[in-house]
Amino acid sequence: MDSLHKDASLTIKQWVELHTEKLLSWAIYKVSDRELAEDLVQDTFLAAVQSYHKFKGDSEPRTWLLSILNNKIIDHYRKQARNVTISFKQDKDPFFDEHGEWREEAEPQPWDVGSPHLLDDNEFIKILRKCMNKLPMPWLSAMQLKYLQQKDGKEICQDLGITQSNFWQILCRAKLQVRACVEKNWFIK
Amino acid sequence: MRKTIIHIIILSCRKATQLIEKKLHTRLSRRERVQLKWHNSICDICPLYEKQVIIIDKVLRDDLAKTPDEQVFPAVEVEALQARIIDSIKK
Repeated sequence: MDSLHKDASLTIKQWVELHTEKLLSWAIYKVSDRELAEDLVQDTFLAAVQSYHKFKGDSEPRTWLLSILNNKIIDHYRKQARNVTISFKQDKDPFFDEHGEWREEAEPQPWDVGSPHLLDDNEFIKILRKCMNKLPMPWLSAMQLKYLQQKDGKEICQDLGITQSNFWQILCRAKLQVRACVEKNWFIK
Repeated sequence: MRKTIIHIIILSCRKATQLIEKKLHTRLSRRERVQLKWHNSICDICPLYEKQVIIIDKVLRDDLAKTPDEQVFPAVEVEALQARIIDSIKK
């Protein structure tokens, strides 16, 4: 057991040399925070030492490390989103009036999606990500969880300790805000 | 007044946007599908909203499937992090 452990830390030291930069770059892309990303990468290697016996030679070390890192990222967002709530008074709702009608200034405007390449446009993705990062942390986390995990809403709600209808409401709020921000920064120039 | 009646029978826009979001991620119930359909048939804003959030949803899904361009960090920074990690593994 002890020699196995030694073996593991030797191999993993090599992996640290080889893969740290790639993992860091991935983590920064997913959490948009350098310091947090470094911590997650460090945790990833620690977890790799712990569960080295589960590593099967048939996958690439990098793939295996990335899957551990992804779980760490999901854990992070899960902690941030736990017991997430929406808190504002109805009369302060920036999007809808007291009857639930769109407020005039919040009505979506037609987008000129002329370019068929919009979905591949890096600038568009950049703006979208910037807009997401303006969300309150728990909302951003709920949204990230939905898109990072290939899980249905039910499971995510169980993890977060909230009801499903609450979850759709939060995602909807987040989407309303992101949509408005994208419109302001991309389509209206 | 008219609006209020519509909302009692059908849905408010606030509710409709929630169903639109739910529809992106899961199957709506029959009742919800009918409600949203009716709402969208008399509302000109919500169908536009739906079209736009579908675009955003698609970009987000595509974006996750792809690997980000590898960032290059200054060597000293990478080495510092590597040293920190190796140090923590030893403990």
